[in-house]
Amino acid sequence: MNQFGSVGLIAALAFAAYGVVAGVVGGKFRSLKITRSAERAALSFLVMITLSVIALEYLIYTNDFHNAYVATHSNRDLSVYYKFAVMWGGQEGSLLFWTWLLSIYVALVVLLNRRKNRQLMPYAIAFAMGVGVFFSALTFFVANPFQGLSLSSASGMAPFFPPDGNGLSPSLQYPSMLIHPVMLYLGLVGMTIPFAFGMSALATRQLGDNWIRVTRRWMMVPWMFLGAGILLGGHWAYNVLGWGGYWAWDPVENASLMPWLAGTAFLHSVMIQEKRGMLKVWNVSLVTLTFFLAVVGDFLTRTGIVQSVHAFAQSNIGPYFALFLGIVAVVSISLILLRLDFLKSENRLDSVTSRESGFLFNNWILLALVFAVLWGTVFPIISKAVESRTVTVGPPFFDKVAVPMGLMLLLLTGVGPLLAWRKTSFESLKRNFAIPLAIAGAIGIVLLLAGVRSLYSWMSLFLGAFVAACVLGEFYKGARTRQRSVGEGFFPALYNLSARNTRRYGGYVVHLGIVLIFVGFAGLAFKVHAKSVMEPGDLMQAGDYLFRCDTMNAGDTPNYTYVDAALAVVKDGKAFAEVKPERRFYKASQQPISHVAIHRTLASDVYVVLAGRDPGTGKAVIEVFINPLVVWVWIGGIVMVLGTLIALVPSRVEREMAQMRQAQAEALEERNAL
Amino acid sequence: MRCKRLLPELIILVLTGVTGVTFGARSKVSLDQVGNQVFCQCGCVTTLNRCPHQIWQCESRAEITTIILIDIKQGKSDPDILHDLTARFGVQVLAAPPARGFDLAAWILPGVGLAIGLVVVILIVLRMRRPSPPEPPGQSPVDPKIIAAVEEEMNRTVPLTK
Repeated sequence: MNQFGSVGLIAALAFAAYGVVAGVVGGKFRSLKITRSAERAALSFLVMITLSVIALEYLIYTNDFHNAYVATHSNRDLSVYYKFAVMWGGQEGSLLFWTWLLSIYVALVVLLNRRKNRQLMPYAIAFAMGVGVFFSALTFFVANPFQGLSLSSASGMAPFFPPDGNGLSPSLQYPSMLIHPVMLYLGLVGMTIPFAFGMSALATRQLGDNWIRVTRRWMMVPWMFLGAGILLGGHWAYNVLGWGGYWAWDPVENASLMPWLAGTAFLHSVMIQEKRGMLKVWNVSLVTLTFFLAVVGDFLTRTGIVQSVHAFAQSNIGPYFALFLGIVAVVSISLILLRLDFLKSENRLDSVTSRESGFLFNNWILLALVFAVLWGTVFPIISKAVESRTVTVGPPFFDKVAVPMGLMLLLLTGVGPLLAWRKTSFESLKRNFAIPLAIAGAIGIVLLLAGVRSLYSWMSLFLGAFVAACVLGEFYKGARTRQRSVGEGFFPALYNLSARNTRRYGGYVVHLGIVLIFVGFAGLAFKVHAKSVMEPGDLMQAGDYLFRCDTMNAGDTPNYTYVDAALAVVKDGKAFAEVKPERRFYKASQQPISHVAIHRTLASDVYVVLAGRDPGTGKAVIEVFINPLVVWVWIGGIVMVLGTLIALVPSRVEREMAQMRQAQAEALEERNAL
Repeated sequence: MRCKRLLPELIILVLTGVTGVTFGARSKVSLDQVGNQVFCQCGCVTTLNRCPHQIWQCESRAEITTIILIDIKQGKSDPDILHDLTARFGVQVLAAPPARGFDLAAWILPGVGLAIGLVVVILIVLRMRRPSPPEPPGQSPVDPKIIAAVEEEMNRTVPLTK
């Protein structure tokens, strides 16, 4: 099966390389036949990589520990669900998984564009397959998951079959780990497609609206996956790591945040090009930057160049990534410079107080944030190179630098939608902002009276109220206008309003999700932390809550041993909840991990960790965090995904326009054929 | 090992902390605060408060915690405690680079980037901006203010076509 997997990989590499050549030739000579051949190569690339993935899964599920990857990352008693996660539990498997997702994306592009975007397709395939060449070559030649173990003996090398494997990292044996890496990879890998279309538009000089329209959806999908993946990662960290938080500004976390921020900037600035034909250089640069940052993130995670709790072990793949990033930078910058004449703005900016300007300022903050996060992430490397000593850049730095920028972004989230395209008068500004400001001001005063003294928390809630009032006001005004003009009820009017312009109102829902996430962030200032050693009958106070240890148990399963403690939680003299934190010790990997017990309400989480047993007394070490408002971070994430899905649904107007464009394109093709 | 020498005192300090005989509100807060500002040196690549190991499993966490607790007991301020920790472990114990020497660049450059970005945006806005077209001759039968308001609302709610 090792050979089978390797053959699949080398065949995939061959198809990817052919796809690049056929794409370029098909585009250069405008040959439909050669372009179709490139498309078939892209589909074959998917088939071959899928065969390799099946081979690796087969090796994992049959406990074939002769395979080095399976022996290192799996074991016999690993549950069948987590065996699937072994695929992305290590360097080699996750590279194969990355390549597989890329092949799925490219195949989808091919299948969804059989009759559309014919001029863009040949080069789009070529660029996407170029990325495929890099990843499949890396997987085959440098980090091959199909290596067999062998032992040297007097008669030479002999195959080695260990009785069991080292097991999957315990931190990965958690339900959200089955989804989080998949989401994250779908996001990061998916950034390849907008990049490929952007480069294709440059190569073919088709730099009008079309590539932007095509790219927007291909950007929104991975952007949504990446955002969901980041939040799922936070959810996993919160539930598994046991320190009571969900974001630690770890380099690998930062690596996933940067392309998401750049993608957010693109999704906003792209509207200026669609509506006004402006910022063409900027947009194609942003799409390149987003892809570049996605690969940089992969580079940081996989090479061990920065210290991180999430990073894979140090490996020798760094130079290959550096070379690939260099090629991407040179090719994309060269193409942009060569096509500057085709990237001129079609319109001028009418006023500083306009939506165009709002988007520009939004892009400014987003990219400044990207720079700050990147700078903080790589500063230890720079410092080591310059001063030959190691410094650490952790949460205190990012909290001071990034949080103010985040709050500025939150403000713009509310301001932007209320600005008109082209020009907004002072009267209009007053009219649109008076009510939201009044609501936010009232809430701000209430918060001060309620004793909220943390500036960042107060700002988050004040600005959150402002943005929510702005966005909900837009829904209300739109529905009321429709109610008056069409005579519908309020809720049908609200539904029809959103259906007519899904992109706009889906975007507003995304903004509401961001507000909810910031509400969750605001709770961080009111965290309560307590720690105690306990045995049955002991009590501990944390904030308004009293904890009583009732029982302690120990047990054994084939995969791990465990100890747990049952605690009764009392609030205001009444029974509030029962929690049961657990500490596991995984036999194969010889590593412990806590399974946190969380009692969630909309107001706060009661978060209880069984950190271990005191070696002297045998008592349980119990750590408690009272985390206000955390649940709003997860609710906000769900709302954001929902908003993105709404925005992805073609609106009625868009569907009609797409049909018209399709008819025009077909007529043009027929005329050209004649 | 220094950590082992300090262990009895550490256990007394921690137990008095966790069993409710506290150092007072300020001290208790300072322990958490300082723990967020320093990195554990055991290789866990996290701050002291987030180190996944317990004190009895992690020599680095035990030693750093001991120093912090003793300093707190002596009434030292957060910067003084950080100074003591830096003297013992080097600058890499700090969770953020000190704002001096080359490390100052870590703090300055994000602000510089923000400022340069602002200048670029302003330049773009100024370059792309055009003067408002002159008023057309002749009187409009409708109040221009109303026309402007309608146009503005249309621009805001209806997608533009080029």
